[in-house]
Amino acid sequence: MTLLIAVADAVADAELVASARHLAEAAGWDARAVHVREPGGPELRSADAEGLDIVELEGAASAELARLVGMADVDAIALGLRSAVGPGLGHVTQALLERPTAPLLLVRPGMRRLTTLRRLVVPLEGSPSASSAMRHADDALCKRGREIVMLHVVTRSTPDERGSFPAPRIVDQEHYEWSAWQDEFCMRFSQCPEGGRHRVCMRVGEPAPTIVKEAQAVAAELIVLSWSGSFAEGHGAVVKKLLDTAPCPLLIVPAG
Amino acid sequence: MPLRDDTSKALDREFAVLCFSWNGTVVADREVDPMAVRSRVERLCALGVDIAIVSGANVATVDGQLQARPDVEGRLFLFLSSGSEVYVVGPNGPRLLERRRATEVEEAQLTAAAEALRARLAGAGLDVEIVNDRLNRRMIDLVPAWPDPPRAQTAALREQVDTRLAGAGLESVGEVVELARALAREAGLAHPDVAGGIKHVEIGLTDKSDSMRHVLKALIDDRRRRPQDLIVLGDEFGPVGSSEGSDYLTLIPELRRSTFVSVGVEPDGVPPRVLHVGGGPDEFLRILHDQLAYREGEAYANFPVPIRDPAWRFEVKGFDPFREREVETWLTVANGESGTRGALEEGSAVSTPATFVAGVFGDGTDEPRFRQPVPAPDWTGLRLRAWGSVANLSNGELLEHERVLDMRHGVVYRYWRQRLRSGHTLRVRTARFASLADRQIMAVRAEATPEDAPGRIVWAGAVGVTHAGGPTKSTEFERLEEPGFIARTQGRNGGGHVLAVTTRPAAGSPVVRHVEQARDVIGGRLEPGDPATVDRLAALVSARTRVPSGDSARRALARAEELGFDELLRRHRAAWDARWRDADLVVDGDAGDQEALRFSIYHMISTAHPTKDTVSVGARGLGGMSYFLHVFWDTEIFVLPFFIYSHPETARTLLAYRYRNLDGAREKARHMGHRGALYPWESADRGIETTPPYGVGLNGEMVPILSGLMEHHISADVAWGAWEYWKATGDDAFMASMGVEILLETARFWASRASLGDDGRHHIRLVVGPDEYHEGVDDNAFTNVLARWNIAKAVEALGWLEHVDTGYATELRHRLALDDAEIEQWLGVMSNLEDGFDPATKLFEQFAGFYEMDDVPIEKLRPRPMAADLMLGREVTLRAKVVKQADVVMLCHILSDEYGDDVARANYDYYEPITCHGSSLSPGIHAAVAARLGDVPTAVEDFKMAAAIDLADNMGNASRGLHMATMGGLWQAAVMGFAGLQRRHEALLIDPHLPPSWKKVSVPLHFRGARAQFELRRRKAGDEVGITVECAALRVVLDGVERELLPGKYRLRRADGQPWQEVTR
Repeated sequence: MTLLIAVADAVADAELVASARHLAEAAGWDARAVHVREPGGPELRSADAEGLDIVELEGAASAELARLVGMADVDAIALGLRSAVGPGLGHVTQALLERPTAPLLLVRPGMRRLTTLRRLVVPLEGSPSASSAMRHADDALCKRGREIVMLHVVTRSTPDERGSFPAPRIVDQEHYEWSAWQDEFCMRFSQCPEGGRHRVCMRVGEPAPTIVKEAQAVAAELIVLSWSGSFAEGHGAVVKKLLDTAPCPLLIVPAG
Repeated sequence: MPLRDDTSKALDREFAVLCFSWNGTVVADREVDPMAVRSRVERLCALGVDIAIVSGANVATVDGQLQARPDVEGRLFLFLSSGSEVYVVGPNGPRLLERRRATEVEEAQLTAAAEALRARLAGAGLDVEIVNDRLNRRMIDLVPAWPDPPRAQTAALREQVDTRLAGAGLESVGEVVELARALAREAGLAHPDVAGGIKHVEIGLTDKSDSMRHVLKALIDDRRRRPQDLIVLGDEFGPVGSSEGSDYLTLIPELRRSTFVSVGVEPDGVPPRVLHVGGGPDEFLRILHDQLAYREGEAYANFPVPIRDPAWRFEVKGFDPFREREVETWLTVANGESGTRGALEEGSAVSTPATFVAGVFGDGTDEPRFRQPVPAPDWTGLRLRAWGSVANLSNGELLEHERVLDMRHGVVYRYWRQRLRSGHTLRVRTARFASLADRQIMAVRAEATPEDAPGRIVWAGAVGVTHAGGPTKSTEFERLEEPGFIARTQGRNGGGHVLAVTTRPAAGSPVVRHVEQARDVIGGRLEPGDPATVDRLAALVSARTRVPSGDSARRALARAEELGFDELLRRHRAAWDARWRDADLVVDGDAGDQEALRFSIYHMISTAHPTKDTVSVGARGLGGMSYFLHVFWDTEIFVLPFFIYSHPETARTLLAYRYRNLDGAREKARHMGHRGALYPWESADRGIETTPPYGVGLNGEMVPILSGLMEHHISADVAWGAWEYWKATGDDAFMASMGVEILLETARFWASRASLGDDGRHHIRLVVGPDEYHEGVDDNAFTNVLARWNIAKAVEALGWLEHVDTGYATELRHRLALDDAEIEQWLGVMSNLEDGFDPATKLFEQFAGFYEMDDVPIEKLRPRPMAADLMLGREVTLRAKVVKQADVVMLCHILSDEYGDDVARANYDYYEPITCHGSSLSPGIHAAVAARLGDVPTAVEDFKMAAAIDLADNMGNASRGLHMATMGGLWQAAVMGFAGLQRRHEALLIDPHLPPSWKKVSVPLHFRGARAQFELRRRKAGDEVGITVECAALRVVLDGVERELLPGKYRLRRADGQPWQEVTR
């Protein structure tokens, strides 16, 4: 596995590079850095990013990065959220999010820096297709001594997808019901044999602020989130809000 | 079916012994790899067929080419070296049984005879060679320049032999044979066996007739068979030139009733005893295949198949790891004694196989400690290997996978096709059941068939420690002397069970069994299309307070083995047929509702035991560990009515469980400072309170559990069940022997539980009603009204008992120390008990102060079902007019013969909007009440909500057990709500309100000795009911008027808003 760190400015992207390198180390991936200079764009101020040689390419950044993901042995991309057009999204990030083919690590200046990755939060709505984040977290990041908080935020709606397992809408005897639900939720969405600790956490509320609140409460260093790739009306609100407000880096994993 | 299209009746049957020669019959030459013959020989041996190969060749030649390795020794024999050697072949190859050894003198005589023949022929100008390395004989090769001619060139060979013989002045091989025989005698051999072939003449001490006599003794006489059971296949029975063919000597007189078949060319015809079919080795292979097909076809046809009617099939297609544990629960096979989850036999990463045993509990080890079921070891595990690798869903590509619960017959079937990573395709079928005819028995038949390549298919069955957890103190495993295993399990400070399991090849399947590292290993090398089928039988014997003896399980297993899988299945199916006759609700017009109802009825029948009063129906049935098989009020209020009206014997047993545990209820009341009997909120094996005092909340916090302390209405619920049963069945014996005592002791509890308030009225304070969002309330209407009813019915029942059996009534009162003064005190409490009822509004206040609680906007309680305490917060629901589940509405439902439609409607209209159905017990009852009140659209909505609790695709509620109360509620909604059949005292009210999608519903009911079959349908602007009454007269209520229907058929109609009219009789 290789994490490609897309550096726009080696100096300004120091936090991105540091978090990405720690994530790569935690996952056992290789880390490489690349700078895509768009026509008329600024020169890279330094060819070194925290000790990584930066490969320079020219072209449209989003297209070039997408091409790298499709053609080279690149399995994930790390991007900085520094050059925001709207509230939180730059055009490169937006383009990659709209056509998600590989996990995207998104780091905004001021986020808690990812260091040893002791604890990560994986929000799960309880549907199979939205649990790809959990599979990714288990496959890449589940290690002994690391805690994965499986966060289920309860809302009034329930996923329609077959095989979904949201928080129960009927609770006959709560002393039996909740522990059974937590066990089953964990079994259903986590298949990790690597010894990491999984904790199912359920909260009621609006998803984005609840995720942020929980990530802050547990001092999470990473939020791993499934994402379908649609910013159409009625979609993508949670991701958009988290890009603005998440206290730690986000790893956006294509859903499905 | 046999593949061969042969008109010869002589071959169209099974032969117990197959005997054949080698070269020319089985193989055309020595270079051929007879792979197909090899596998058929092995499979026939596995099927119990004896095979004898009779040849002049030696073991290196025949075994070296055939290389068959049957799984057992004792079926395949090689009679070689022209009658001088006998080998038996097993898994490790051939083993010499007998060898005739020539003496030195005989060896010299054989050599002298052969040399003399060579000299004589040389003198005539014919050079021949003597082959000396043959056991007990000398072979004279007439054409040494052509050492190993193939059979295909027989004609050319014969021509060359004839030419050479003619050159020497000899007419035929026969002349050489006669010359050889004379010279052998001259050399001193008194009885030389001399035979001629196409190019050989042999002088020996033995020949094939010796082999055949050995076959006759060892495989016919010693094994008590008849010569007719033998078929002998060869290629040279007829003459070869002037000499006899090489197989002619197999035609010994003792085998004149056996069947002899030649597949050879036989240019000069065959002897009269021989059937000539020709075709060579290919035809031989077909004959062999036919013999297999006769047997395996029978095995394949024997595999049971599910019912075809889709309305009886609960189907699960494909494999979804996310849903697998729900599926396992749905497909539980149970019989009241035990329940086995429908986990895949070969297992998977997401499988949770488990067998739960009713009534066997132990002390849990984690805090808080409470009684928990002791699961049985896993008896279903059958690992599968195919073509050398483990066969399971993760090996390769899933081609087809379907599981069918045949609800009619209580059998779970599985059909699975997998293309393994090796590229081979495997087809698997299984059929599993827990016998309803013999409740100690469980069984599975499993079949694996290679589709596209021959290969070794092996089932391996073991009895493993359960993965279901539970308070198991110990499990001891032991191998049985007979094939099988036994496991004795003891619960901590509790009961135990013994499981005995055996796995055998199914009749007709070409596989064999052996034991390997505590596993039954059954398999064989199979051709495509041939099944490896095993039968696994299990016997489970349990006891509440000890571990039963191993002998009891052995006896049960022996009983099952004696009957065999097929007979066990036949009896099991018959038992289910009988149960459905009085239980099936047939809905015409709505397949989804039909499925939900049959699914519910199937599981209710599966879960309850009709005769064992030490067990009852746990809240989540026997298919999951959830709720630890504990018994709640769910049994009496929700499930019991189904049994009362469909199988009163089971209903009586469920009530007998409560009677048996009356002392536990007395103890609980005493412990809490009351008199009488307070049934435990949760009970297990001892009838004592089993509710844990606290639990672990969602965030790991300790949560006190008050239901065991405060949810007292269960005592009245049990009393209600006893009364309902008595009134609906007329079972006076039950009432006299058990019911009255239950009623009296529960009434006594209520009289002591109520306290006199400052207002001069009696109150029941600090309780939890059915609406568990509000704990520690005073004067819960459900509780108080039922308490009052309980006292009234207890006094009424005592009066009845004093009337019908004064002596026993006196004895009972004496035993209970129940005097008139106490009864007076009860009546005083009863008449003065606060119930929150307002005659003006006809509303019951759910509990004291309910009306003063906060209103919650209705939209906040939607969509339903909703766990309102979760969504709104516990603090909010505690103070709010939010109802978790039917409470007052439930009261109106179960006391529908006490409270009329006006009261029911007022309370339904008030409480329905604020009920969030946060309990699985709620929507079914609401559906029943809504239907009764004519609000059919809402009733349908609630009915479907209830049906979705276990069966929705996206909720996962069933992962750890089914909701038995929901199932009972669905039945009540269908029968009491939509069909409108409700008890009114000792008669049945008929007042249907069918859903628009139901064209017709058929309902069988038992009622007070009568059996009635109702056919209800909605006509244009009216209802129609057909009634068939059997066994006894049936009292019905029509338009408020009781009338008696004598046994016979009736048809009633009513136009909307009009009274019933009888159409015909």
